[in-house]
Parts: sequence; structure tokens; C-alpha cells
Amino acid sequence: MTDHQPTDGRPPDRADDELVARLRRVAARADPVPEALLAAASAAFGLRELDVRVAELVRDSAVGASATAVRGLGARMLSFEAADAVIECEVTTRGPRRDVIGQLVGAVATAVQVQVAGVPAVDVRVDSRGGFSIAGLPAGPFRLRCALADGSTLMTSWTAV
Amino acid sequence: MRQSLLVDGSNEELLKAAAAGDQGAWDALVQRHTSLLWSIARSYRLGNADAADVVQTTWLRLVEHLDKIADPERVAGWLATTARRECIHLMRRTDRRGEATAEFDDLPDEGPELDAALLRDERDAELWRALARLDELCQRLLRVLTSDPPPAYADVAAALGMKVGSIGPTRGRCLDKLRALM
Repeated sequence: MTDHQPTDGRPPDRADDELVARLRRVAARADPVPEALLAAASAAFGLRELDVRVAELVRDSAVGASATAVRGLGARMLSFEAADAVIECEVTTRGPRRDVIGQLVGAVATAVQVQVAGVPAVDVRVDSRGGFSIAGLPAGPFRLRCALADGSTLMTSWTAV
Repeated sequence: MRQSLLVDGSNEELLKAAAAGDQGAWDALVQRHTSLLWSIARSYRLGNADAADVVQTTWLRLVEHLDKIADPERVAGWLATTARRECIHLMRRTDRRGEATAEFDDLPDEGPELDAALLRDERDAELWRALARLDELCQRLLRVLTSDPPPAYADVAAALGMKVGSIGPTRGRCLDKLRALM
């Protein structure tokens, strides 16, 4: 890891390297990484779950659709998919809070929890058709942990809302 | 944060140890790469809360994928790519939130101007302000290049979605523009 790296054509210039090094010192003082963020990143390791399946985010209305289609609608649709199950979520913004209405399709959950980094997981009630709702989720990354009837556990990939 | 004997280990060694449950190895990865991730979020002019969400989401994703990183030595590139995508998603979402963003106190653009006040040395403050007057590509490139420790060009390329061969020449041009502003 060094600034002296081969480039095509223009050889790295000593004065350039010195200016970059000076900018690095200035950036470290003017815009340092917050200590709390390093602590949160360290603590993220404690949220590791072994032997779970991850439902990856495969569709996000905030990204895929055209701006005009989404603007004014208010809700953001997220689709998470695993091999045998789909979790659909509709996320609405309420200031710094998020409300989520969702449904698990293709599998039966015996228990669902919502997890936010740094806070204990909260139980979510699921109806007989796999529907659930979460009110007042804090903005930031969240995931759902679904204990399924077959004994396995399905988690949605961490997603910032 | 726990100290690990592996603190100077390669990314591959640290990732392997972390996958085996070593918190110290994980912390060494966090210490080594968080500055790069923070610089990426800042290069997109994200405010404190949004930048922190991007960095935290990126680390949570790595926890989730610890056993699935195809090229462990290139984990910094994986992290940089993940963070860049999160920034782009977040900016698109922010665009669409429209008026709703007004209630947050962490709007972008607060960054360089205010922070110059933290620099006691007037020449450093001038340099920091000059950086903020560069075009978007140069600002972004120089902000990422100046993360600490110095990032490999391959990881800078991943952070910016650029070809690795264009990083060096673009750096040269951006530094020339920066000098012209001072």
C-alpha cells in the first residue's frame, strides 16, 4: 500500500506524492472517522449468525424504477429472495423512523424478529398468511430473522432504510 | 476493540481468522479499512448520519458474507464496491425523498467548508477549501486517495467505479488543478 504505483504514461511525481501525503494529514484532522463508527463496526462482528440462510435483496423500487414512477408514492418496495422463499417489504418514511409492512411467501414462519445494529432484536407478530408489520424502525440498516416451520432460519440481507 | 496477534497480517489471514470467530482479527480489518469506506461516503458528500449508515451497512454485509468472499486478499476492493453501491442507492433514495430530507440536520455539503475551521494551520485550511472547489471527479478521487492507510489503486478504482489504469493519470491532472486553485 503506497502512493508509488505504476501508472500508464505519466511517472508518479515526487511533488504529487508529497501533496497527497499532506492532503491525507489534513483529511485525517478535518474529517476523521468518528470513534463511535469504529466501535459500531467492531460490534457488527457480534451479529454474525452461523447456519442461517440469507435472502438477498433482489429488487429495490428506490433503485430500479424511474424517478417519476416513484416520486410522490411515498413507499419503497424491497424484495428479498432465497431459494425457497420470498420476503416482500413496503417501507414508508416517517421523519427519522420507518414503518414496514411485509409478507413472507413460500415458507411458514413460526417467529419473526427485526434486528437493528446496537439494539436487542424485537419480536414481530406474523399472521397466518405470513403478513407482518413493524412501526417506528429507526433509520439505518435493518434485517429480519425468520424462524421457519422446518426448523431452519432465514435472514434478510442487511439493508439501510 | 481487542488486539490481535494478526494485526499486521494480510487481509487473507485476517479474513480467515475472523471467519473462524476471531474478534481481534475482525477489529484489525475494521481499523485497516474503515477510513477508506468513510472517505468513499464523504466523496459522495454524504452527511454524518448517511455516511455512518453506508459504512455500518458495508461492515454488516461483510459479516454476512465472511465465508463467501471469493478473493480474500482483495477484501478492500469488495468493501469499496459495496460501499460505493450503498452510496449510489442512498443518493437515489434521498433524491426521491424530496422535501422529507429537510427535517434531517445532516444534509450533504456541510462537509469541507465547516470542517476547515478545525484546521489550526491556515495553509492546511486553504488546501482543504481548495479541494472543495475542484470538479466532482477530482474531489471524489482525491478524497478517497487520501484515506489512511494509503489505499491501493485497485481499491480506489473499485471505490470510484473507474479503471485502475486511469487512477494515476487522473490523480496527476487533479493535483495540477488543485495547485492552480491555491
